[in-house]
Amino acid sequence: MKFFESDSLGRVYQLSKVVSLSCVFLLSACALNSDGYVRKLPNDAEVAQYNASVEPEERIVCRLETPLGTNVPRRMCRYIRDIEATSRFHRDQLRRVLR
Amino acid sequence: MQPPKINRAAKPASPRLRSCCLLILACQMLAAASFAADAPDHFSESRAQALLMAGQAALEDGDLALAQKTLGQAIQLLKINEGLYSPEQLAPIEQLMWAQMRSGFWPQLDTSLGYYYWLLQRIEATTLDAQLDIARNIRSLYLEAAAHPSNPMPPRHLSAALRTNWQTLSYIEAILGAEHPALLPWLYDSLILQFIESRLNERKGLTNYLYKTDGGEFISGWSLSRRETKTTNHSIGVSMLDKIETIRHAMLRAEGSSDSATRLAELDASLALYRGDWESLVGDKSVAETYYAKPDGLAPFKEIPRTRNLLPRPTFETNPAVLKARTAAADISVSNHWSERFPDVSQLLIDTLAKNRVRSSMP
Repeated sequence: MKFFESDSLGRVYQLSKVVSLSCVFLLSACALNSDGYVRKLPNDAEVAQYNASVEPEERIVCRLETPLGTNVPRRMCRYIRDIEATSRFHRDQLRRVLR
Repeated sequence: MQPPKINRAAKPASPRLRSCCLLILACQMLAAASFAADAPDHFSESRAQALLMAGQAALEDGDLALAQKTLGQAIQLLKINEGLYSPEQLAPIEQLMWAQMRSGFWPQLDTSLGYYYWLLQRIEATTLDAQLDIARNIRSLYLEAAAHPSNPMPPRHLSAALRTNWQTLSYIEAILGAEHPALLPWLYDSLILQFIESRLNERKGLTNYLYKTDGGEFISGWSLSRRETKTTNHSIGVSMLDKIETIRHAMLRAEGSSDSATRLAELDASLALYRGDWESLVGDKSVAETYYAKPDGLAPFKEIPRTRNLLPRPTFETNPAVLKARTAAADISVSNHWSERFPDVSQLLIDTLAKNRVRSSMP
């Protein structure tokens, strides 16, 4: 692989890039509770299994989102009802501004 | 109370009149007796069974109208004879739902499904095997409904099939534990269902149905993108294989047999093969090649075919001889395609899903 053929400085640079990227992805896969505990977000299979057992209004959706101020996407899990409420709110705000 | 007075002064009736009265009475009794002999007992148990058998036979013969009529009568009789909450109704309702689905009577099917679920909630004394049979049957019904050419909303029934499978997994986990071998067939079926979902031509609204509602109304607006859905599909399949690996490893550890090293090697090789299959179907081809290279260390695994039209393999096997034979039988180019709506899905795959009971009893 080309990665292992480069010079030592380049290798260190590449390695640090990989490590920092891994850390970012690792952190983006976790969420911090208000009490400081780090909890892992559910994977897609867990989400599908959960969604199958609850009423439609209780279902969640997890997707990669890129928050404002960063280019690093984060996995976020939200209730469908919250996504729709936020979307409705933003539409109303936009309509009010444009009026 | 005083006894009634006897009119001793009255004259006795003439013998002619008496014989006439006796004749009338005898005629009446004879008529009643002959009527009772001719009239069938509409509420007898044997009549309900006969109707059920006739309905089943009509369903198998493809006479769907007759099947619906006789099965409907059988259900009514069973309600009267056995009670409103009687489990005897389950079998004819299942048959009736199949007849309604094959006829394309969607509102009637919804009504029957509603009644079936309502009844299931009221039947408590039933075994786990019976409940798994019910889940398997309902899942197959939804799948066939999703493939029905006249179905106006196939994604709705497909998502219902997936949901039934997930609910069954949750149920087994709650009853037997999260690492019980009974989960194995259902986990692999989840992977197959994800594959089927990825092959649905008409994907419009599918993610909305999955997330927002179980009902029949059309949902528009917010939805996951095709790319996100594909990623989710892939991720779920990988998670299922991870779970199968965990459970199988735990089983081997618990057995502690003398040939456990060989079986462990076979398990790891077959898992690599299945992971390669999954990458080949819904993931990255280069990753698939990496996985496929792993089982080649074991000679018998080299001979197992990996052509795309043989995938996904209908069952999860670790024995290379069985795996080879079952894979060859699954060749989609020689077996029937299931439905126009789901390209690359063979009838064999659907038939195997319908009878995973055999696999659930494997060690």
